[in-house]
Amino acid sequence: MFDAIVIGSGISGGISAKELTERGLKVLVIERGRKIEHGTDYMDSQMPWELPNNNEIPEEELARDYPVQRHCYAVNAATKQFWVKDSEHPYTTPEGRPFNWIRGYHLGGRSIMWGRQSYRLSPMDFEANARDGHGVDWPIRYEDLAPWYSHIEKFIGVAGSKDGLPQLPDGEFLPAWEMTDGEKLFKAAVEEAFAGRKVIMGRNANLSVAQPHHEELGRMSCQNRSICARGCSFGANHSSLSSSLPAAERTGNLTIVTDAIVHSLVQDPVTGRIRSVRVIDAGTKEGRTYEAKVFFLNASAFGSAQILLNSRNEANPRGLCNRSDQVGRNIMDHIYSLVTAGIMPKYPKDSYYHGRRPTGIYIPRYRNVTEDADGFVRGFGYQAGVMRQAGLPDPAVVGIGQTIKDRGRRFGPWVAYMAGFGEMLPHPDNRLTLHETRKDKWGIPLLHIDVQLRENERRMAKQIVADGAAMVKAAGGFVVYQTTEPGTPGLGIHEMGTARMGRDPATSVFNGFNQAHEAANLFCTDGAVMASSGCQNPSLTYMAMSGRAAHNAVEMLREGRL
Amino acid sequence: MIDLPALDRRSMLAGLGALLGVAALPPAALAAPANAARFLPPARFALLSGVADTILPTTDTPGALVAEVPARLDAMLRDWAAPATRDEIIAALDRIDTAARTAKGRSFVALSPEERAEVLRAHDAAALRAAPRADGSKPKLFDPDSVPIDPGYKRLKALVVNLYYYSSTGSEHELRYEHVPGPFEPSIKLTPESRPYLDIARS
Repeated sequence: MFDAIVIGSGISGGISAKELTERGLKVLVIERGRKIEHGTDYMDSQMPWELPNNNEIPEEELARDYPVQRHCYAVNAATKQFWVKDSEHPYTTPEGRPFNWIRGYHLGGRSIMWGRQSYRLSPMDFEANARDGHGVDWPIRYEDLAPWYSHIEKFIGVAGSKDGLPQLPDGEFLPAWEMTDGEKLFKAAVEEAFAGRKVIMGRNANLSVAQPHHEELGRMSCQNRSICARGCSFGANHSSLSSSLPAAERTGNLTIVTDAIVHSLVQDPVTGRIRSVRVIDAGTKEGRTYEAKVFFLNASAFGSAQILLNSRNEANPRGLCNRSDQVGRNIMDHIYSLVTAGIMPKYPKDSYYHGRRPTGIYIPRYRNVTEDADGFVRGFGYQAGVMRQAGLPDPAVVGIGQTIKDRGRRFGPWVAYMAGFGEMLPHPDNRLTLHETRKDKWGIPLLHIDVQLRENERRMAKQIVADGAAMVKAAGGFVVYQTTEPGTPGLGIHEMGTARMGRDPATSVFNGFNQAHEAANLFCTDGAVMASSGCQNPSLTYMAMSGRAAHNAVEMLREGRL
Repeated sequence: MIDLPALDRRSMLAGLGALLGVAALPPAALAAPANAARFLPPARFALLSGVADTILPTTDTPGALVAEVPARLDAMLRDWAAPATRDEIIAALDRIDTAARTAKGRSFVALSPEERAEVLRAHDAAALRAAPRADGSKPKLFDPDSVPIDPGYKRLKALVVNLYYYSSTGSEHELRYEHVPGPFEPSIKLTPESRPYLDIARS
């Protein structure tokens, strides 16, 4: 019997485990994937020529085992071990409506490969649903989460600058990375041309300067390698393996089981409390159960919803904690893949930089903040960069021999690139359900995922493209490349919303303490609980909610309320 | 994976070539030893070696042979390429040989370095020209969807170029790769001696 069980060891589960163990609870973390050892299992020491097949995954293997994962930018031979084989973990989508579910099943989950961009939601984001009527009102406000954002930022280490923007609150930052000369010019020009728009340094969970509490966990300052997704042996970026699980481990209160796939939760029909969790051994396929006083769902937005749905029984035919019928609904990702690239011919030809900075710059949301929007609610931000076109000569350009070498040695123009991340509205018909007939090899029904971008997203996408071009031009450049259609939903890898928090048990699944309306000792602090998506990268919010919910759960436990 | 003694012999020869200022080595020196565990049969491997050496010859810096590009590309044809890719790349190689026979009446490997460069330069220019678009319109500048006349050649050349730059040789002599750059320096003044760093897939 454990005090608490945390289901999932990714970015939110790692923090749940840390916060619960540090408060004295005996915690079991259940991970469906295999064990990964920090450092020794990473391929971050290999030089490029030491990687198999020039860091390419064999074509037939890629087509056979990774038909979905291959669409993720970070999939290559050096990271291959961290992505699920789609061939082993299928799901279904409606004809003509693909969804790319990008994921990794192993200890630490996607916290190893995540993009590390770390932004707070703002007061405006927590009020958005109440204001424009989409979704349900968040049961919390920015002030509820602000101290927990600070707590997490300090622990994980977030580099950033204090920019004083109400739509993107400042945090407890390590020194920010610095802009290139091209970025400084771009910033000045954009801010001059568009009052209210700001170009700031990206905020990222890499240790620009490791602090003593990071070093105690064996973490070091970032070496600007930008091979973070291979796993960082320096522990310079936050992951469950580098950071949260070691912190949990040193309390002496942590137990981890891997290769244990959660099948369902067992609820006491009288008290409504969750009694135990049913697990299937990934290897032997044998079942077993674990009991605890408190349960934290951190299996990822889709994984957590799947567990609730698959916990259905006669009394709860729609699944556990689902009287609201909201489990599986309101899937959001971020509008993604809307890229603008422009050449900046007048930027200084004699300036360069050294190192592979592990973040770009960021243009926080301004639509429906300081500027009106063209027929849509909410807004978007851009991840961006202004770098020299230099390095590997393009083999598609005509020329051989010395011509190629000369081209490789040349410094090309500065290139500005901007990738929009747009807020998606919660829509009840963007939903996942359990497949009626098909099951995975552990006997768990497959997910059927049905998501589409709708009118608000389409209008926003148009503005992302138009504004991108306008800013490149305003900064003295000309656009050489633009994508005009958003990428397949899922590719933002920010899927969320499948078991939203809210005030009303009739329309939401979890309350303002991330506690299930229908099961007092069940908490969820992954992307499932998001009532709206903002346009900010969401992991920091999941971690802040994990810290806050763990704190409250332990208080409730001590007061005998669980 | 890779037959090391064979590689060593070939790099040594190529290194010698660099020392002597020879842009390409005679075909006999390039041919794989009979016992090498190659994917490509000897004649095609020699053709690949000749082509790689012509795309990136040893000049003031070592070329593709020193960087062991042919052997690494051969291994990729075996370990990485799907059959269709293999066929496409081999066919692209064979077209270069055909071009040599058409223009010079001899196989590509039998040509002098100067003749190889002449043949491949013309072939490269023709092969990489954008193919007419399906709707008959003219290809646009910076068109990411543009397809060259000979896509197989483009892939072959890309493999040679990539394997060269992502080699210890390429990284030592052309674009420097730093595995652990250390502090990020946001602004560096370029001099005529400055070289770009080799970037990598950032993940």
